[in-house]
Order: sequence, then C-alpha cells, then structure tokens
Amino acid sequence: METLNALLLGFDQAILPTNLFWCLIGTLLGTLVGVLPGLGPAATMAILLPFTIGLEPVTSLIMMAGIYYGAQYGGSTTAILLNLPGEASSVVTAIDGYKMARNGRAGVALSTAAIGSFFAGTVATLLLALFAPSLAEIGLLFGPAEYFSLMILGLVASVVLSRGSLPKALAMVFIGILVGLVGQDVQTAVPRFTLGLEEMSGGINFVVVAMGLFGIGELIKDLETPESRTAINAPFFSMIPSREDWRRMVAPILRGTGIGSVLGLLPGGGALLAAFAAYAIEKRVANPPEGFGGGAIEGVAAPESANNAGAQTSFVPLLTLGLPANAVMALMFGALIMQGIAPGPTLISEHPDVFWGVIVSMWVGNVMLLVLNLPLIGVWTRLLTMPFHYLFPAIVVFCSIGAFSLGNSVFDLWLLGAFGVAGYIFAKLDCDPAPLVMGLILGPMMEENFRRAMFLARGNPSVFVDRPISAGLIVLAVLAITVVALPKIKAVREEAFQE
Amino acid sequence: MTSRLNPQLIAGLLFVLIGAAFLLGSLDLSYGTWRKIGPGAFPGLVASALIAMGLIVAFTAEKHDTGKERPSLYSSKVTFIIAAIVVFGLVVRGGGLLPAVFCCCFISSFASRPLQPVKSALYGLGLGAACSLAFIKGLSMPLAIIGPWFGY
Repeated sequence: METLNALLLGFDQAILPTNLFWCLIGTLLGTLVGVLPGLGPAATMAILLPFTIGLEPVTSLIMMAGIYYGAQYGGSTTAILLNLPGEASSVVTAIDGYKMARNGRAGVALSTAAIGSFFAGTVATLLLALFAPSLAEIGLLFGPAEYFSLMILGLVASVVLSRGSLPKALAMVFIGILVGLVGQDVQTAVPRFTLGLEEMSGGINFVVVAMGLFGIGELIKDLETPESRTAINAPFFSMIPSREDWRRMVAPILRGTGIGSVLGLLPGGGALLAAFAAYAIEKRVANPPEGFGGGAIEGVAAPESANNAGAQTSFVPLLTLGLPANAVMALMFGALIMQGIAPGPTLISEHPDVFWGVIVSMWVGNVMLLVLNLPLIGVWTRLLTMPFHYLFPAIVVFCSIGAFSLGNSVFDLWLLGAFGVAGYIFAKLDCDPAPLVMGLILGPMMEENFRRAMFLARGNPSVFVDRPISAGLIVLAVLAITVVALPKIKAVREEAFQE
Repeated sequence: MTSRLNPQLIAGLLFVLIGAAFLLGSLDLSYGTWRKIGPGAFPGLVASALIAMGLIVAFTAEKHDTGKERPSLYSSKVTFIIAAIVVFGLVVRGGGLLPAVFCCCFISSFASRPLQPVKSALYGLGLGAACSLAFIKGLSMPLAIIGPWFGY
C-alpha cells in the first residue's frame, strides 16, 4: 500500500507538463546522440549535463535519466543497423542483431530490442520501487567506517569491471581520487594542489573532467578512424514480429530481465555486465545453440532486456546508499550534487517527490521510447548517414559552451582542453577513463569518511574490520579483486572485454 | 619486433610521474596523527599507491603486449581540436557567443578531411546563430551574442 501511494506521488511529478516535456527532450536527445556512433551514454550525459543546471532538480534528473536510457536505446539501433555498438553494452546485441539486419529482418530486430527493453524497464521500475526504501533503511545504519568500506567496494567493483589490466585500472582510480582532492581541504581549508591558482581553490569541476575525457578525448580518437559506415539498405519489410518470433523471444526477455535486474543492483554492475551475462546464458540454454551468431532473435532479446533492466536497477545503490555503481551513475551523482541534493539514505525521506518522480518518469520515458522510436527509426537511420565532418565541430562547440556555462569561467575551458588531451592519451595507452571518473566522485568522500572514522575510533585503524557491516564490505572487496586476479577468471574476463 | 616503448611502459611511467607530482605536493601539507589526520596524509597515501601501480604496469610491460608497436599520435588533429576550444575561450567574453562558436567550429573542422573553407565558414555561422538562439534567447545564458569587441 505504501509503495502504491509512493508511486502515485511519483506519477504526480512525472506527468507534470514540464517534466513530461523534459523527459521527452531527454529521451530524444539521448537517442539522437546514442545513434551517432562513437558517443556512448557517458559522453552524451557529460556533454549535456551543463545544460540541465538551470532546471528544477526533479526535472533535471528526469532529463538526465532520459538521456541515459535514450542513449542505451540508440546504441542498440546502431549495433543492429551498422554493426557499430554505440556503447559497450550493445556489443553483444551487434552479434546477432546485425546478422538479422543483413537477412532483411532489421525491423524485427529493432522492435524486439524495443519490446524487450520496455518490458525489462517496467519490471525494473517496480523492483526499484519495492526494494529501494528498505535498502535506504540499511543505509541509515551506516557510520563513517561503513561508508568508507562501501566506497572501497564501489571502487574495486569499477576496477574489476573496467577494460584493460587490473593495475592500470587501479592506477586510473588513484589518479581520479587525486584530481578529486584538488582544492581546499574540507576540514582545514588548506589549499591542496592548486598550483597557487585561485580558480583551482574550489576544486576541479567533475563535469569538465568527464566532458574532456569522454567527450573530447574519444572524439579525437574517433577522428583517426576513417569513416566506413554503410547503413543497411535492405528494406525493413516488417517491424511486426511473427508468431514464431514472439514465441522465441518471450523466455529470453524474461531471463534477461531477471539477470539484468539482479546484476544492476550490485556495485559495479549495470548494463554492461548484464548484457554479457544474459547473452552467455541464452547461448547455453538454447537448444540447439547453432543459431547464435547467425541472427538468432534470442541473441537480441536477452541482452537488450538485460541491459535495460540493469541500467534501471543500477539507480538503486545511487539513490539509496549514495554509491554510484559505474561511471554513468557517477555522472548522475554529480548532477544531483549540482542541484544541491545529496544522494544517500536520506534522499527518500527528505526528497520523496524527487525520488519517486524520477522512478516513475523512468517508466514514462520507456513508454515514450517505445511509442516514439519505432516510427522514428527511419529518421535515425538517415542521421547515421550524416557525415562525421559536419558532426564533430558541433560536438566541440557544445562541449565548449557547456564547460563555459558551468561557472561562466574561461578557466574551465582550459581544463576542458587539458582533460581532452589527457583522455586522448589515455585512450592511446589503453587506459579506460571510467575508473578515473569513479575515483574523482568517490575520492573526496572517502577521505572525509576515513578521517571521521579514525577520529571517532581515537586513531585505531581496526575500526574498519571491527564493525561487522564494514568488515563484510571489505571482505567482499578483497574477494572481488582476488577472484579477478585468478588466472582462469582473468582469461575469461579478457575475452569478455575484447571487442 | 618488440619496441621497448610499448603502451604499457609509457602508461606505467606516466602513472609514476603523476604520482610523484602529487606526492611532492602532499609533502608541503601536514600529515597529522592517526587520530587527527591532516590534509596531506590521504593524498600522500594515494599518490604512493599510484607510483606503486605505475611501477607494476611498467615492469610487467614486456610480458603483456610484446607485439604492439609504439602508439602513434595524431598531433595535428589534437592541435586543431584543442586550439578550437582555446580560441573559443579567448573570444567568448570579448567577442560574444556567435563569433566564438564560429571560430571554434571553423578551426575544429580542420581536424578531419577539411570542408572547403567557404562551406566550413557558412556552417560555423549557421551553428553560431543556432546556438545563440538556443542558449541566449532560449535558455537565457548571461552572455552577449555579439560582444564588446564589436562595440556592443
């Protein structure tokens, strides 16, 4: 009953005309940028984040969330039509989706992805509504020691799930933490690493870092690969799945939804892991498995449901514990902070309208995607043929305007350029920027909680293992990192992240 | 052929360098005591860990990608994109949004198969006009479309 009332409160927010409008804008912009190859959800959100500051908190979050799943959705469109996964979690969709398109079944592949995503989104929204409040209650029991350990777990998870080698990913986390510490020390107001520059005393804006690394850095890298895009010209025939298609997609959608919902909840989980796992399981369940890789509808239905469910439920740790589970959630975290809302266990009780409004609007956004995007696929595909040399100057312009508008400061533009170069160098050296962004967000909070916990424990570091919840979280983190370091799992992981 | 300067080694050295810079910076700050930790301790710890990771990455370099050659840098593309951002920053206050967008778009377009200058300029003007409408008229960004340099 309580959940129902809460959902109704959310509906009140979600169907406000302004919120509906910005939800629509968010999903459309997200799809648009997600469709354009090279820019995934993280880059899309980083580039568009500065423009949401002027909106009301709920509205801006609704729009950001819309951009997120819109971009996810657009990513699967390019995966199916171009064999170009717009973002990592569509990599597996491309395998069978593109084959389906080659066989003249692009329409069915796209509608399967849409139907699966919609179903998964609906289920995940309900799960969020059911479980988030109780998780937040657990979060209320957390003291500084527990928070510190939780963040360790979050960072470890982001390291474990990143591309590339473990020490490299760890190093990226450390760089992120250090960059996050630039500025005045919270407790003593001593300036740190500001190089004597007044502009740096407030710290480095994480949006600028994210825009530089994800937006500019990857853009420069994309410029190196010559354009070789050929959209499928085969006629779509029909968007409507046949009876046989329906029969074959039901079970994979259900399984994908389940896998995605669970994996999304874990720190470090989310869309990417969910999609990979769902595809692997479908392949195992399939009887016979030969159809996979050759255009099996199951190979589209399962990962697309899973990544949408995972995308949705990965909001749970963010909204209830204040722990961003992946780089995209780190961006959402930043968006919340910019709006003056601290994500964490008190969010639900202090800002119920924000919490429930965002959750219900996710479902509304999924409806919009389903209703709007299927008829618009023609428009999106035409966009794909837009030459890149018209597109990228516009992206540079948007990044510049965005960075400048954050604080009306030209200094942020110099930072944008610097982190753009850094992002490009990291890309060249095979260093995944996602852990850096996680470190950037979590680093300062970790330091604060560490110092507070040590003060409360009178300088006894054993506080982190004496308290049961904290000890449990540390054990989980240690387990995660040992498991990944094991040779056999390492091989599987390397295979999974190979494109 | 194995070049000693493979991406792993460069990455490792880069990590050590960044770590060392932050470690040096943290030495000026107080480390405090276990009970009352100073502003320097945490960054010092993280910077040391970063140096350690950098060393691991560098020393295991050979084992990892022996086949990979030195990464090539396309410096001209980087230069144009960064120059575009910098020029935007130099122009935006004095010149206004329209000229800033125009310059930014025009310069960055040289990073790829260049459009003909006329086309590129027209595109820049169009984009500048669109951005001025959207951001200044639409989202009321506090900025002039044409700035004081042009006597406004």
